[in-house]
Amino acid sequence: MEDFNANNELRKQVGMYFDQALDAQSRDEFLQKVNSDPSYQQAYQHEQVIRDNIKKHIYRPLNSTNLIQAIKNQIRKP
Amino acid sequence: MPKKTVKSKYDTIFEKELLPHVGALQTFAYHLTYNQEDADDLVQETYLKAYRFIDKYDEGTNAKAWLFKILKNAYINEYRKRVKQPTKVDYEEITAYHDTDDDRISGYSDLREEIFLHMMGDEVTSAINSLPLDFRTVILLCDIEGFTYEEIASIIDVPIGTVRSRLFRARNLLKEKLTTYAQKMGFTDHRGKNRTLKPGTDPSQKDNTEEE
Repeated sequence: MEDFNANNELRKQVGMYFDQALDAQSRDEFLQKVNSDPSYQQAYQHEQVIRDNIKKHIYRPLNSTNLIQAIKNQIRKP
Repeated sequence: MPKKTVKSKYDTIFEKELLPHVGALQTFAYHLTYNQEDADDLVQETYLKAYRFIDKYDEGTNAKAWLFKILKNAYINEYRKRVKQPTKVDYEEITAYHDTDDDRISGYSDLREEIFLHMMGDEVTSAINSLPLDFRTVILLCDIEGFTYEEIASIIDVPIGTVRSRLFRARNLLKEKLTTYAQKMGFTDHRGKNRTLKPGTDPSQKDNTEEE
């Protein structure tokens, strides 16, 4: 049960760190743990890989030029 | 202020503060509607609404969050009524199911860098698009657009605690889906298993499958 709670806490901390939801002190404490505790380091790297790759691989429509022009045309209509 | 000057001021705000976010809105809209044409319609509708109510916007504040809120409301209130959508998955049902699986999923998913190197890109998009709307929305707003919990709470009109719990569950579900893709590609989860070297393998060589 203790392990489960610790694991849950670790996952939440990692998530909040990457969401930039930790205050300055909590962020420093978290980074110290990452540097000293292999389980924190592993969780940190794991989350970083996932987040970076989701951002990198998600589909993003490319050409906005036509859409911007269509929007401008619409608002200029009397 | 003369009417013409006010219009000119609003046009400047529109051009300088609102229009630069069109790309981010297109990405969000695409992952809500699943197709480019509908996404462009939704973004256009969002900008027309923003322009109509531009006097409600405070110059120099959070234009991006304001636009995302308009788009999300336009999608929920109008777009989904107009366009036939697949049957909505019950959020509570998904939540209850995945509450029981949270530990299994995140505790044992083994999504290494090399797995993503083998992905073509479609897998991530498909995995995100297959999430229930509430989960998809928070992932897009937080992980793709970088909004804070407070901003997301304001955009989707829910308490911050709900944002946090949705994100937590959405990420676990997303990792599960990506893990399934990885398994289909032939990657197996080696964590927690004893290392077994193939005959003839040099034990001093780094084994990528054991990392993470």
